[in-house]
Amino acid sequence: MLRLLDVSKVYENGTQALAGINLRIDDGEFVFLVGSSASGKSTLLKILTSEVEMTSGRGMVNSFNLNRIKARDIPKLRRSLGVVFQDFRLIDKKTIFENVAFAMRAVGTPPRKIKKRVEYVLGLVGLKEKADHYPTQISGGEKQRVAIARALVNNPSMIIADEPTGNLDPRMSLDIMKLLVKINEQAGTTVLVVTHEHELVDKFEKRVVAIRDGRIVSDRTGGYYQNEVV
Amino acid sequence: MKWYNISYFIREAVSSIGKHRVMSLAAIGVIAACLLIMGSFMMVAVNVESMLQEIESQNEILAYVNDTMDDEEAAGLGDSIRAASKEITEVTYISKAEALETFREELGDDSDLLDGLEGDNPLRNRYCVKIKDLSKTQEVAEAIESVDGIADVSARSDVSDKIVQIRHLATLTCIIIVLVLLCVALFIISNTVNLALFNRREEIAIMKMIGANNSFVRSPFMIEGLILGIIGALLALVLQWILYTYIIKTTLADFALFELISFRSMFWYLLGLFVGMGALVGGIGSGFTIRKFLKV
Repeated sequence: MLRLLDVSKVYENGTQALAGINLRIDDGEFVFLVGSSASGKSTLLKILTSEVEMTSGRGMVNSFNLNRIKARDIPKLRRSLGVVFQDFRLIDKKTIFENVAFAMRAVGTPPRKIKKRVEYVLGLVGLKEKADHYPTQISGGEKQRVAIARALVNNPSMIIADEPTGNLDPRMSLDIMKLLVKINEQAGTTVLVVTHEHELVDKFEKRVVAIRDGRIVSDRTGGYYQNEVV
Repeated sequence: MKWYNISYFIREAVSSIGKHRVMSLAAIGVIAACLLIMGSFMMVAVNVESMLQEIESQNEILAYVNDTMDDEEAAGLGDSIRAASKEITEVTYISKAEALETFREELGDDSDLLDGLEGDNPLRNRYCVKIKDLSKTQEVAEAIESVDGIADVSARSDVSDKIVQIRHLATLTCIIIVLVLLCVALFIISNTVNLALFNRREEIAIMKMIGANNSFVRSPFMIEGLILGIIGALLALVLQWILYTYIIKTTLADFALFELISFRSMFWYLLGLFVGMGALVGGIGSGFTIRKFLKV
């Protein structure tokens, strides 16, 4: 669950990234957050993961109050979110299995449970056979599936995907998006996908939130990206 | 912290050393070099100190017994002399006959000069007194002089003052150089760690984004630093042994008045010092340097 009330962000250099954002996403929703570059999307995500602090406004992610979160609780907030990045952000020197497993080790899960869960999650994204490979040995689409497996492994209540298909060709992009939809539908995990790829968004009939110049300019359930003024 | 976490950290640290071979070798080299320089200086300092001690132990106070006392009375003064000052560590009685004998030995071939003195020995019964702190020579000499039956005290307080001065200077120099070297070592090591961590900042940032807390990220790095520090220390110890045995010892031997300290007698001390310093600098160094990379 996510709630933002009149959230603004002005960076130290004076750039206003967000201006009065109001956003509510309920558990189990699938939401596209769309907007061109420099629209404020990235800042919004960084506020959700507590990488940057909002300048004004109020916010809540899962059970964490963004205005009053203590430094030592930030790891807990991030564990309740599974984050998927455009550039995958896998550790090249670890195997696929280890890349996913170490998200569980960070939470202090016993090794016995880790093995079982990682195998299950890798099966879910269709990469069970490549568990022993290194990230440099697999394709971009596969890398993104590893990243999704890693985001999923700790059973987060929400997955945030930041341009997950930005580095992939259209066919792979569609596969990744379908995988995210599948996770949303089967596990009931809330999914927030940030993207600027119109065609991809149009293929799914999901809620689309459009952001421009730091403001939400449209928020329609079932709305299509192509109809918006973005 | 659970056991499987600790075992994970250790496995992680060991495998990371293998994966970052060049950086690991650089770190080991830097630590070994710093310890080696520090160790070499220390070995010289320890030898100087041991020479000073040797000289000190030969510096003594002589207390002459009043001639009105017969030999038996003179020999009984030991306890009262010992009681004169807390600084006194050793009191040896030397009878006039013994003193004459020693004198003879010192004269060697000319000892016939002393012939005929046995019956009427002009030397006095005496006590040879050794003290703990040479800087107190004058004070102790005065205290002994006031003991009943002591006629005269001879103390080379000028010599003892010189030794005390040299020692103070040596200690001060030693402390300053070790401190400077320590700062240099810390600087170089923190730079090496910084470089190593800079290469892996992405890895650290990923861990943080996944929700790992700082200690989870930091622990493998600290253990890695600890292991590299200890390997560097052991390497330094071997190099120190070679350097000391074949270079420092042969060079110092030309100036030395006394026998040089053997490496073996210093071994455990050096081992403890090197491993302790290596582990401290490696572990704390990386733990400290990683802090700025954790702010994600």
